[in-house]
Amino acid sequence: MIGRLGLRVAVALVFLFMIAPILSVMVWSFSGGRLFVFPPSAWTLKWYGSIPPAFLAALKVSLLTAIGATVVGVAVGVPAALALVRGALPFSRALSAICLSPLMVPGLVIGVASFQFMNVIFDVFRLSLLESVPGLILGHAAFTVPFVIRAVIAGQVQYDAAIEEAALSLGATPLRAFFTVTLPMLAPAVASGAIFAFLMSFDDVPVALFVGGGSATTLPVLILNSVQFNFSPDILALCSIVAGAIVLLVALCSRLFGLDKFTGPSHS
Amino acid sequence: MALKRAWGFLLLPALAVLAAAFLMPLANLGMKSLHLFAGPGREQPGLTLENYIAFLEDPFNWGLLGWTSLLGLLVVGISLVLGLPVAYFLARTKTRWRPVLFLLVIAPMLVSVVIRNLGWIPILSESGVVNSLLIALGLVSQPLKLFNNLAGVVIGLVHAFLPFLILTLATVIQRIDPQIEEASINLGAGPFETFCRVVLPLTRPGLIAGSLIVFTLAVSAYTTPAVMGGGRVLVMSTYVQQQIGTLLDYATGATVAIVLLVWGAFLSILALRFSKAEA
Amino acid sequence: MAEVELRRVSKAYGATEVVRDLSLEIKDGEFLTLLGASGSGKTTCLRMVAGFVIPDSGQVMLGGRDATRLPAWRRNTGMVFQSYALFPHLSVAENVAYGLTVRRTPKPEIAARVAEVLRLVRLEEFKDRKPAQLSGGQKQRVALARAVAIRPEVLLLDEPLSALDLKLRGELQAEIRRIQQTLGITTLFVTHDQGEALGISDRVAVMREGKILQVDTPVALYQRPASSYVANFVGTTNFIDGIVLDQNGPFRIGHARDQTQVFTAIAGENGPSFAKGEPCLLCIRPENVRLGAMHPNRIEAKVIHVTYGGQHWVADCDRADGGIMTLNLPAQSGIPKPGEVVTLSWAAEHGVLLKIEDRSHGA
Repeated sequence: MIGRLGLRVAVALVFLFMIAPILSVMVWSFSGGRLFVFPPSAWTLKWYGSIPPAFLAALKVSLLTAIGATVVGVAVGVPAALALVRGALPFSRALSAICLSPLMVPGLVIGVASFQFMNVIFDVFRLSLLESVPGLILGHAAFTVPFVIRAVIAGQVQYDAAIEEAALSLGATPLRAFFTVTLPMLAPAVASGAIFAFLMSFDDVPVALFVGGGSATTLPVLILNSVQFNFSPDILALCSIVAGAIVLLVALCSRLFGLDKFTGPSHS
Repeated sequence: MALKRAWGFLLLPALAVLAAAFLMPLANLGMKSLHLFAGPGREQPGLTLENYIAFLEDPFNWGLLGWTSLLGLLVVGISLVLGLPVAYFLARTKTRWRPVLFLLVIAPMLVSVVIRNLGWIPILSESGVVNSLLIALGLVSQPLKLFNNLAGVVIGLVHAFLPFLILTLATVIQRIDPQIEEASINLGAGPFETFCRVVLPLTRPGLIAGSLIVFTLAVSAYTTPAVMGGGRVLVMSTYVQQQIGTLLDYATGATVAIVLLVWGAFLSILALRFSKAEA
Repeated sequence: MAEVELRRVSKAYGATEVVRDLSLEIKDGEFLTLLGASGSGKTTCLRMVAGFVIPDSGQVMLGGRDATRLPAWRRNTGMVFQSYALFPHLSVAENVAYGLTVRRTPKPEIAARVAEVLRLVRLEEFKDRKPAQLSGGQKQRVALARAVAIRPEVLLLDEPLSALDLKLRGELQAEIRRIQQTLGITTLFVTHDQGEALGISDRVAVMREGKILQVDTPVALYQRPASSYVANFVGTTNFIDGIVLDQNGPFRIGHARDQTQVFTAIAGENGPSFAKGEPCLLCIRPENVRLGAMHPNRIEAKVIHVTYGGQHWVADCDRADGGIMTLNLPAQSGIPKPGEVVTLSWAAEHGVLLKIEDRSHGA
């Protein structure tokens, strides 16, 4: 019994550790006292009214980028995952490996490589992708595409081929069976892949640090800069809203699609 | 047969995007590492392996590799100590709060790393929660330095990657038949002894795979060392950023990035092998 | 409704021949079961009728038309899959309606038909549930309802009960039979469970290595098996090696070891012919063996053990020739002790004579 109690206490402490920084952002966003002195001496809502415009602009860049990169990921990733599983393509193992390989590459390396490659593109085509949202979307596509492909491949592994045969035996043509049975069944996998891709793009620092900047500075990069140079508590309000929104989104999705599909290495 | 070929066309858009966003940039990076530095933002013509030779000959770089690995090992060790009990608990608990507990593991993982790092500042700073508690309890007389140094980086990295380890281990432990544990207890082993003698050995492939994943993520992480180290902790990734972002030495930056890439990819493939072996 | 026929169909995967030159006829409204061990080719035959397997040679006839190369979705067959294969994203009613929707049946008619078949499988109140919210037995009934809703020419059942527990299996077996009789639908059922096959079918086809060994009513199959494989696969059987002494009138058989020991017997179904002096196999069901010398065919044996089987005792005895004789004893009767030497006997019509060529008893 003591062993069991000990286990519970240990587990509770680790959970506290897990949620501590998120709670901390939320609590201190209401603090009116001197910066970071514990416990806070006064409470206020004023930070929520004075979020700096630069941060709102950066939030907009981040959202646009994440939406764009997710759309690209789904648009090219879903057909690719279908082809890889059902196409019986030659070299399908090698093709899968190529499509998933970016997930093994550190985010910083992708950032540096994108940055240098976009320099080359500018030199050759006079096309300026650096410091632009399209550039950020292209850079992030390096990991949103494989994320969606991986999720949709996993989604196909779990299901029973007899279900499509059932549709055929009931009179559906192969095309009809694909749209009325196969695709709807893949919807949870596509959705979880898309949400994961969105959050990874929204979270990214290394790629945005090299590729973004100027009018295309993302929220994480702006926060990073302000932590390193001129920290002020007014950013905590925005961070606490963003963190709350992400937790809610994840909670909602885990209810809708199950939690297991949300696992996998990220870039940080 | 025509149908088979049609599947191939579905793959083309993805390959095109990945070529533009990943494969060509990576090839270009590799080429850059084969040129010599010729002043900020420029390289000399002519291919050479000089950069790699210089990298390997410089004891500073070996120190950097060693130091980064040490950091990775520290993060893996602490994560294992913290993660094993939680993974075991999550795998075996029958509480109806289980989905909520899983959510508590997953949600922090998905909240932006920078925001999480930011949240640590008020907790770890000199007048923060931890130091206030330690001083109030009389455990220390001077506030501990837990931020803008190695300690901060380790705390941040453990927090960032612990969920991966917990989820990997919980999946493996869940697959172990609880009756095996009951058999061990029935034969006279206590719960802790059963855990060490039965559960841990059966979890070994998961332990190795999970540790490799955490180690890979930790040694290649950029954001957390940059924020939590306050610019005072130099690891492989921050060094690359410094070379390219500050010194504009693209050649050296590309070389170190390639070393980091090869190292990371090697560890990832190793981790994949172990997690396949366990499945 | 229609009759189904497989005409000399064969199918090979690489070097493995799974179905070999097989012919089978299912009459209109008949319930026919393909019974066989795994790998006997029974599921391949079923999938040929469904259109998921195209035979390398031979023809598949549905309702008198050649359907060999007709795509699965153009055939009017209702199939129930082993894994149920319900559409997880659709409700029970939507699952059942699926085949009607793709046939562009008018909405009111779909609603009426769905209600009708759900009533038939007694699941009206579950129509809005998702498959994940149903028990195994309920899923199976939805799968059945979905298959019959399209009013198929033939109902195909691929080991539909194998994932269920014993009690539920019995209930659903009766339910399937009831629905089949109500609709009068031609049905092809695949199973490896002989009890299931005997209990549900009009006729049973026993398959082995891609061929049909015997097609018969359950009673004929059990009482007059055509081969030792069938005798052994369907129920429990005692075998005695013998030699044909006289093939005119009732057969007279001498024991292979001791030809002074003589038995009388009848030939198996479709009575194979035997030559005088030919080695043969005598097959006697345990429930036809009596304790004591009340019948003309007798053999001495030593009781090994007696076990209680609910309705009767089961006694295993050692014969002098090294074989084992199993017999059933009424539950009320006295039972012999282990070690006791007893005389066992049976009537001539209960001894079935079989050819010896097929001696490898599978099952």
